[in-house]
Amino acid sequence: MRELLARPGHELLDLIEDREVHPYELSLEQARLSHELDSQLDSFTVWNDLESRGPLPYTPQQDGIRRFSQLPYAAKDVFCTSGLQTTAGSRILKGYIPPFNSTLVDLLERSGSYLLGKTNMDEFAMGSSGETCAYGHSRNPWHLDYVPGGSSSGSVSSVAGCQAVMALGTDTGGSVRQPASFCGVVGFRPTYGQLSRYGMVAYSSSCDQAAVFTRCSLDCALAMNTLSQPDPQDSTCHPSSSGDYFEFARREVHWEKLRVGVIREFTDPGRIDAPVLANYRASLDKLAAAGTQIVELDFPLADYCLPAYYIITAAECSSNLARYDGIRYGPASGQDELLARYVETRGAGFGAEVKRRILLGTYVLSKGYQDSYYDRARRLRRDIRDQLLSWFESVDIIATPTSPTLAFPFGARNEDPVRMYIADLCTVFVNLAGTAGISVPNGFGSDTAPDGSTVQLPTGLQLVCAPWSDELLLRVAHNFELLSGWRYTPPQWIAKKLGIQAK
Amino acid sequence: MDREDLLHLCALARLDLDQAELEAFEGKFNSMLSFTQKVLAYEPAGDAEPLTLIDKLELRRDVARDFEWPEQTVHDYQVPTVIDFEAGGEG
Repeated sequence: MRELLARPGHELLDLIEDREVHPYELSLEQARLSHELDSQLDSFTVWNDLESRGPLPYTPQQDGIRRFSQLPYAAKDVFCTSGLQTTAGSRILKGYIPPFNSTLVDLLERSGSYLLGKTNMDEFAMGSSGETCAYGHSRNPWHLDYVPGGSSSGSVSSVAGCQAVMALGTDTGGSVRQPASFCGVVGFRPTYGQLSRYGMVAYSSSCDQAAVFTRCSLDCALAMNTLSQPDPQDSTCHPSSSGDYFEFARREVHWEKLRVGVIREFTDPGRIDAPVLANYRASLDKLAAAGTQIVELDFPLADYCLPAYYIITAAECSSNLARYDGIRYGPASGQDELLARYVETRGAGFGAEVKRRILLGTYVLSKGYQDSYYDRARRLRRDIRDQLLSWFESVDIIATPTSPTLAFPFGARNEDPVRMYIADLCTVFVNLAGTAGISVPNGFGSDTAPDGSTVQLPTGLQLVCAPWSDELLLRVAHNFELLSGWRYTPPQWIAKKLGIQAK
Repeated sequence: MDREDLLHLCALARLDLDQAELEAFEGKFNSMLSFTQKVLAYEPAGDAEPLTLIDKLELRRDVARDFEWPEQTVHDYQVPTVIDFEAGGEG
């Protein structure tokens, strides 16, 4: 059965429906494999004991819609799970066991899906490499000395490393798309409001969005059929589709009718590393050869996106993280005096990156600076969104590189936080505009490892749609996979454990 | 930002900084602050209001699906205004 665990979810679902595989047995085998691989990948922080919980009840809905169901999945440690520790990668939440499930975990449970465990992440989703987690670092399955990307570091390594069929992540500035590109899997961030945020530990409420990692775009569509539901517990959750993402995604794209926008600023060799740019251009060539009309777009606001993003998210995080004071959650200092207790608990509980962002947020919201920083950044955000909407009057989809670089070795970017922030150069405009984006693998590029050896690492193509056009995005992404002939295969060392061939 | 201002900011944010790492922290914080100062050069177009969650990240109500409460649901929840700590925190 182990050889099945590199296959996409929809194919596994076929086997389950044909009664060739029992879903509970499949999930137990997946859990055993995940435990074995985790000594090297370190994707998980907490395991769910599937053996003692037994098979989940599952009643298929009679509407003919295929959903992600009965399959094993992992959840970023930012999703509250009833009875299972939830830390958001922070010491300040160590030992916190939520009394409730986040809505998405609930929906998956109701679909008979098996939660394998909670995955490692940058502390409170603040990071681009997985290195700010208080509980160790997940590793890139393609080279264990390289970062998997972040902040959803454990979720991506679990899917790329055959430890889970699907994983929940969150994407506030690129935290699903960027790691997906670093690890050679698909990472999909839906339009803001498509998925419930209830029970998701908040970092930046206006940019946070639940998102998924899978081994192909069709599996993202499968997951959307399960997850995209209205939620009375989240007033910002108003899914737009009443249809079938999976069925829509499978339809053919008539490339000659598709107009793809290319942002000139994200094709600049001064910003985008050579191997990434080469694969990006090759992807555009494939699209053009299929008849797609390529339209060049100018983005004069490109240089402002990252600073505006860091101002807005820092402001929101300073407010959201004010609740962690040692009184309601997690461990507390032994100080008797209340203020001293707050200060000491927060000082010991938060890591350095989180503290920097809280301080920046406090600064940009303080009297005298709010106008010049926070309000200006929000005006910029409006202009960025308006720009994006105006593009979609002349194009259907925008294509950019997902990340300007390949994955990098651990520690390579820790000296200056700004070097780390650049990793989100091509992704943050999507979050600021509140729209959807997906990263699909588009090849490998070479890097020289610190030991002098040559390493092959994946790259990703980011596709972006107009807000609420998520179905179209998944359809184009799936058809791009067919066009480019890409199909997930695990790294060789993992393929050996599964007894299958690797490329 | 000098150290005195940084420590004042820490007090406002109720944060303790590790003294041993203060210098490295200060350098990285200032790098982050300079990076965000790029927005100061930006002059917003027109005089429209800033984008907010409720304003422009609009919820597309025309095609949105509303949650259907189960028939037996009774909407009688009230937010407790007085919390009785003696009674275990119940309202």
